[in-house]
Amino acid sequence: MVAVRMPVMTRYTMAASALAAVMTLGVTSAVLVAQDAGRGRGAEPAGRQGGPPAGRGGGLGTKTPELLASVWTASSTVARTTLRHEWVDVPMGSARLHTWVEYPAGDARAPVVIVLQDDPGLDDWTRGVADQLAFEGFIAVAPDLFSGYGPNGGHFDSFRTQDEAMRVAGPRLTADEALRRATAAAAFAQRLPRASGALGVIGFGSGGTLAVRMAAEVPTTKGVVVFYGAAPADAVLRRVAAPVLAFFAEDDETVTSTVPATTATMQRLGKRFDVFRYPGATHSFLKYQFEGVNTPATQDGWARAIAFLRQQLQASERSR
Amino acid sequence: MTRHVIAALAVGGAALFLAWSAHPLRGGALDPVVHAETRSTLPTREGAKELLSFTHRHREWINVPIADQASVLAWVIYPERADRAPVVFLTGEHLRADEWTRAVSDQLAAEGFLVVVPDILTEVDPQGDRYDAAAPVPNDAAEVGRRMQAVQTAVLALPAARNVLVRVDLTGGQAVVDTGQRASFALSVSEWPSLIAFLNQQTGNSPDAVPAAAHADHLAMQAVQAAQRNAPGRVSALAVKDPRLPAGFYTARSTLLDTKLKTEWVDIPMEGTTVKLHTFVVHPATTERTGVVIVMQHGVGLDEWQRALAVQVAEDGFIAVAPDLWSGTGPNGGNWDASAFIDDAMRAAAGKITPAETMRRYRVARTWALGLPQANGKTGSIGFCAGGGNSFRFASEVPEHNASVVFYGTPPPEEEMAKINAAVLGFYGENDARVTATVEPAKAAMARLGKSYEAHVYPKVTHSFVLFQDMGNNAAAVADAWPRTIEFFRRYLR
Repeated sequence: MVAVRMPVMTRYTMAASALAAVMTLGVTSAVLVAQDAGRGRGAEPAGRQGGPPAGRGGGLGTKTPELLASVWTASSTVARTTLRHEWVDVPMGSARLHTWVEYPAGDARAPVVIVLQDDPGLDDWTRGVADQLAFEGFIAVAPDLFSGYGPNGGHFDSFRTQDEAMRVAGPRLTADEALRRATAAAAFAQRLPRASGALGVIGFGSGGTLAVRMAAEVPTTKGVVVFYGAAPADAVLRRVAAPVLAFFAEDDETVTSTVPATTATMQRLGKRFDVFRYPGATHSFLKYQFEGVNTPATQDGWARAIAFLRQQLQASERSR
Repeated sequence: MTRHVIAALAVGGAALFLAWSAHPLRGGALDPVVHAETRSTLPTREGAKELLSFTHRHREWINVPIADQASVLAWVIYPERADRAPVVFLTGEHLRADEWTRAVSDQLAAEGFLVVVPDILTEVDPQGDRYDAAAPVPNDAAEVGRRMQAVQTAVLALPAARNVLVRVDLTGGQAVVDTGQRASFALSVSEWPSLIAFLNQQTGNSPDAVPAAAHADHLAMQAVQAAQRNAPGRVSALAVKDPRLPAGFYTARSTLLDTKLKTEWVDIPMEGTTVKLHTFVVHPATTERTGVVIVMQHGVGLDEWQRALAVQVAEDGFIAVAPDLWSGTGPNGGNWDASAFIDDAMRAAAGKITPAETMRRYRVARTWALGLPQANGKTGSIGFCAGGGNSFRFASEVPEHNASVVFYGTPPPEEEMAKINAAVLGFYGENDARVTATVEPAKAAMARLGKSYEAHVYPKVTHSFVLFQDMGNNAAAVADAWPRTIEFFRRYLR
């Protein structure tokens, strides 16, 4: 049971970076930073990407071991991961949800995180997110929300090009169908033999909106991480029990302009909603983490996301 | 006669006071309207029904007598305020009080207006049964005018109404306001605050004076959001290439696959090495002689996006020549495409192609391209990121070069600039401090040397803005920069 906190508006100064304008509701941030020390366990980072060690080949082509891959390093990261991974076709009525599942090292039980794609679909970058979550000790479950919308009932990867997938499958995926699929993935994930029972969700862009909707629909969700996604309707927010950690970029007006209203609503509803807004960063800053000040935004945001999931999902394990 | 035509005629007949304004507010002599914060928005057509069923505001259908035996219907919605409200007389397409027009009325009521939407063509008989008005009423302008006047009189008699009325007509994608002065506003979310500000100004309505009605507004907005749930998903703008502009990250592959232009790979021999310069060439559709544009690759190599950029250069009428600068650095002496992944190619090439070798390779490409039968003897270059720097520097290396376009690349030192004869055009993003900080010094140096250098710095725009058009204002920067690029090449390469 998540304690309802009276949200208190505080000004939080990040020690790790020079990013100044951070708005956080709630009083949890210091705890999150303290948890950060436990990162990096599990698989040995060096060489996991399969190529030469980091440091040769310049910035764009080098993946930082403790950060998720960028759009340039995702394909090789996913192709060469040493972590166990598989495609699973999850039954969902008459259709099947093509789902990427990746496990942390070892064979211990682990908390589950559902990974929800942005508009461009379940591409290598999104699977790179799953890989990084698995590396951090979570079972990552990334449903292809375009499942069955490809040529001859195929999936995202059956389209000739990614833009074609976006043009053809994008309009077919209504918000309610996306929710049905995310929920089906969550139900499947919680039944995995290695699942500890703790469930979290992370989403990007429209997938961030969907993550909150999934949390409203799946009451066992213990933590929601949103990267640059607008909030769903207030009626949905009302049903979200899990704490929400959200990250926004200043130069992403369409999405970031919605934050004050969402913050007010969450405050009124007494929900825990921690918000970080990065000055000068852009939409999709994780994907394009090498541009401008997206780098420190990625470093700060990703570390906080992992620490938050670890705290929420492990805390819920302890309380079982 | 179909309903549609009848209704259109009715609208025409009512043109007396619904006349089109040829003068949008901004261009006219009216007082400037300050954009104010609004407590409402333009509803979507898909969200109208749900907004209407959710709204907290009091609303009702009233029967307005038009004859002994008949009435017309009108929809009235009330603002949540204790004092009398100014009235908006709102007419929709075909003079019907359809759902969307009524949803708009709800949002106007959120701003403190009492809004009436006449349903002129629906009559109500003494038994209360409704039926559509039969001819000749709908195409009888005088009758339509009479009915509208009846509705207006009835609504002004309501106790909640102040004796101030403004007419707003929502047809043809615009809101035409008639208060003696006429103004028209595009029916868009962005123009909505201007419409509200104008109505406030014309009626003396002061939203601040309206008692807070947050709960109603809140529910209405929620309904709009809720309505989006079952709306079809959208096609992301990222997946749609404007044929006049270069591809972005997501549209590059389909641009390459679908181009109707002739593309080919050529392997150009280089002196003193067995490595050949693996070069992607795109030929324009024109059969006339034309200029050559060397496409200088960005930091991840000659990937699909860079080749799609070459396609766009050829679409715009030039011979596009895109050498794989990293030719021979791949596994087993292969090229960029010999690596399994982009980051592998980057690592494979790292440190192997010096600045001098870079210039040599682009010279080789230039010399080869000038030998093409279609080449007119003029050469330009266009480069991105590191390639932008190379495009600038190439102008100093090759005095015969005619035009260099630089996208977010750094300039050569001043002593090299001194050798430049070509015109240089540069585009930069404000949020690209490392590169953009070089623009002002470069302008000063080029001016001192009497060289031609035009630089555009776009606010809220990042490095690599042509590639990643979904960040900040990048898409707008591309839309501005590309036509300038092509115009520049037309000027110097023809």
